[in-house]
Amino acid sequence: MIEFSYSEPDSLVELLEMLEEGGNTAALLAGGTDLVNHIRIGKRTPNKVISLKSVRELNHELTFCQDGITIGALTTLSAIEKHSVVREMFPALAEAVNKIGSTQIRNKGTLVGNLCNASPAADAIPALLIYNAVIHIVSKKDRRTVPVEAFMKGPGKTDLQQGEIVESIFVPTPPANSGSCYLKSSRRDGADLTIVGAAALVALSGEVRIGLGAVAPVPFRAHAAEKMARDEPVNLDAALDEAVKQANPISDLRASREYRLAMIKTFTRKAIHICRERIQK
Amino acid sequence: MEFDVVGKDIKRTDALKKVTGTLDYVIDQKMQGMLYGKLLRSEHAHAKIVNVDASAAKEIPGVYDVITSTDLPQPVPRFGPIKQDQPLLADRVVNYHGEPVAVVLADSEEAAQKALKKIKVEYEKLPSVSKLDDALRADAPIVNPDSIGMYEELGSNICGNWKFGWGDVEAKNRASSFMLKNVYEFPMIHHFPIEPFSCICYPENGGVAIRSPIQHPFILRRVVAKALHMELSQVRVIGNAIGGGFGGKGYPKIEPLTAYLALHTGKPVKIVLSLEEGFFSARRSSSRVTMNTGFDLEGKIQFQDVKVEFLVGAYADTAPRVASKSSYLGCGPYVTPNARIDCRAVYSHTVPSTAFRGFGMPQIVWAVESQMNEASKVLGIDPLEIRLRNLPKKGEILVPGDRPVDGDWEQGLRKAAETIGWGTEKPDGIGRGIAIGIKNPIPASLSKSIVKLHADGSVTVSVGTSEMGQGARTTMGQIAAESIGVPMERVSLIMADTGAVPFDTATAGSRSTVAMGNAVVSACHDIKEQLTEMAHELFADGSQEEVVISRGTIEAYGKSLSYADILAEYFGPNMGEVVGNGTYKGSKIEGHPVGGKADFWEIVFTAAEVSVDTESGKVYTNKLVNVSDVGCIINPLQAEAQEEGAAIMGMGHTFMEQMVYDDSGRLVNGGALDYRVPTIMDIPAEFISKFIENRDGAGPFGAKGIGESGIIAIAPAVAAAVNDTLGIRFRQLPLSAENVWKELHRESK
Repeated sequence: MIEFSYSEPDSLVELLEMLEEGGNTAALLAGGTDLVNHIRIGKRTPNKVISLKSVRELNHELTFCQDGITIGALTTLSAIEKHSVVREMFPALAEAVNKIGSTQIRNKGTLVGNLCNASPAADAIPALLIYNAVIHIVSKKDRRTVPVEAFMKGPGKTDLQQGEIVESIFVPTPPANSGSCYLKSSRRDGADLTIVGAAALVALSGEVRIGLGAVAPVPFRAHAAEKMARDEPVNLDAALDEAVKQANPISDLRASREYRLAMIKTFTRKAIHICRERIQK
Repeated sequence: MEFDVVGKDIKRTDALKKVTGTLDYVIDQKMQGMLYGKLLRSEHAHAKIVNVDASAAKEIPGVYDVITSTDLPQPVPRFGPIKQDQPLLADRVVNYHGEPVAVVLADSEEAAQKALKKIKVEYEKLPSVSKLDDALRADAPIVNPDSIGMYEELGSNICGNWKFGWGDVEAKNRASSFMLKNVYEFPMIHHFPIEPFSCICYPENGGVAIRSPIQHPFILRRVVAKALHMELSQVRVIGNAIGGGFGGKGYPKIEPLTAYLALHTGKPVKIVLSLEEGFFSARRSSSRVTMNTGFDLEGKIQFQDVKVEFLVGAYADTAPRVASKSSYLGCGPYVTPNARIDCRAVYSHTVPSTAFRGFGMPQIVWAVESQMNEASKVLGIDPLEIRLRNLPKKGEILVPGDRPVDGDWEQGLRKAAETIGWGTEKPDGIGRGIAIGIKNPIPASLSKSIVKLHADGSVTVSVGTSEMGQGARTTMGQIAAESIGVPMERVSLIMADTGAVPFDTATAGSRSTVAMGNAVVSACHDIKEQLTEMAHELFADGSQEEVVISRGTIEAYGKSLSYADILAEYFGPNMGEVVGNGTYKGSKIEGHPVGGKADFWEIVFTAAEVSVDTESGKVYTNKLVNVSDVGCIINPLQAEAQEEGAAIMGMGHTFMEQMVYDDSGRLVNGGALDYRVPTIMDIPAEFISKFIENRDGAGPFGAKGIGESGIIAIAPAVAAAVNDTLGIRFRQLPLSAENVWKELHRESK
């Protein structure tokens, strides 16, 4: 039997208090779809599991304003992918979230949890990257915000410091007359780990944004490629070579490094085509 | 002939329990005072066990004992359906990564799990082989060298060599207009049942009872009795409902050890394996088939010279039978005037391979049918046409000395072709492929059934067949209900309990509907004969009138009685029972290469339509058609479900499945995350199962068996379709996006 204490604080103050007390032996539980598995296989051995579910300040809902959407710490993946406004305005996010796990996992799992798990292959992160999402962090002493690009530090590592939690993610409204999209390469269409994840955003202004997952220790924005794609839209192939240069994928059972490098170009090119089609509409 | 129950979409009797999660699987069962067993498994492919230190493990609270092979009776009891070669626990050496080395017994699963981590095993590593060519090298380390049985060749890893043939291949080799030689490989794959392996054993009546999701309870009984030196009557196997077997739960795995532990401790013992441990328990043999085929200018086969090599595991299990029986059909479904088949099974330091849906035929058919597709290209004859030219007619001989062709195969092939739109215009980028799968069931098998007609007119059917998801509980009920003439609701089944039901060979080889179905029909006839005698005895007054039994009513001598009436009349009120005995015995021929003639030919015609994303290599199966010749459908819902389930499984080995061993002989992808099987999201866009029903089968109402057919020809049909659109031939599976992309990349270089 694996033993740990379990608490369910009902306010943020109480939660942050507990978190500070627990130190690095405490683990946070929202959907539990990663944590429970990690505990089961011994990857994590917390003494204390603190549930976020009853914390009244943490949101289950998505909230909208003129500038964008705010996704709460308890907003489930299902709630995001099914939301009509997300599907319409942030299609890459809806598509990426839809590719995470299975229906059962998405019904329990949260986007914030997916982000904090910091898998190099996390589907939602490339989408958050192209929308320039901002992470709202809170601790007992302080509140701060970090761009998603700076939040990811390595496989399983984030910018979160001891005693801090992610309170919400703010996703700014994409530029006017733009299209966005997320595509995933995997061994099967049902729940699977990503071989290459490619998110793209193209605006009528010429702006191009590319977010890539599963091809480096952390998902990243392909800035050099973006710049080239904006300046020389006809020479997309050369731009995509820049994205490949930035990647450093591994060979594993899912795919070889060689295949991953090739699929960066294939999937990003497709994603950009789809974005361009979406602007027209 | 119109039926009342047969041919109807009767819902499975266990469906509601399955979808609500209330079916009583062994994994959920408990007994008073039960011990939980957990296995410590080898870290190495091949190693000497120098020392096992379980002292710390035994100190864990709740631990009852830790047992290794040195604690077992000596010599260590060994088991196996063909050869008694597999020790209950690794005997001084481990022969594959994952072989059980020790078992912890504890009063809870958690304590057992904790103790497992405290056992220290000291190994001395030995060289190992996990690939075919390595195992065949002259200087290869020999797997299990002490265990020489009936098939093996001394001083090599050859587990067996079988030769079949007829005609004169050498002469035709010189005379054929055109010859084609190719090598086709099929990967090592796992059954991946959703229900893990599990069993509970307990002492009973001076013997042992075994509760297990086992397909073949009578084989398990025999194997355990032999391993533990017991009488058959001292071993009772209670076959529980199975949550996915596919051949993997056919032959004994953890049961002999668990039975020993129950007898040794005098307590109920339960062992449940994890899904990951399933990979260490059963797999399909990988294969390399070298096809050398001669054709005349019209595309008719002149000869087949077939070399089959199966890579089997560290112990025989049933792999030798898989190898010999499948290679026996090494020429596929075609008229082959001259044939030479040479099959070898080769041991390796890997998980023992066993039966797997299709029993070797998916590997053989992958080669035979890919070869036909290649021949059609080279000869310039349409793939459908070349098959029609070589397909035998009903009544013709397929394999000399075996059952003649028992169906209209051309009808089935044309139906599959028509359904896929063969010959109609193809949109750009679309490829079509066609293939035929064939298999014979278990020759020389035996099924017995007891049917009881109770005093109230209800019926209990006892069969050794197990319910493994194929719906036998429902179809056997339908067969009995139809035969005896009562509604389905009045029929109950007792299945797979060797203490309660008469002998049956196995729930395998798509045989139950034919073999056990016939036994049930014959038991029902026995009842009707007894009822007829009873009617004569009760009412005959000198004259002998005809007794007519129809739909549960007996009409004779101007009377019309229900079953309950006549039983009451004959035996007295509330008393009596009529017991019918039924037997089906397959053809058993001394000296026949596989023991006897096929009960029927299981044949399937598969057609696929695909498109390929040439940039990623991903193959999209737009349409997949299976047409099986089933003679007569007992339950259309079940028949379709079997075909679809098998086809999806076939898509698994076609597109994604493969067990991977690293250079040190360790299995590296034995788990759900790294070994992918198709999901509902991966099925064909259009998925069609059709049937040929000419009522010409050897089973009840003219039925033939299905269950395996749907998987057999998926890979060659899909690969032919991919070839049709890309022009690239694949002689290895799986056709993963990356593998297809690599080939495309090679072409473009």
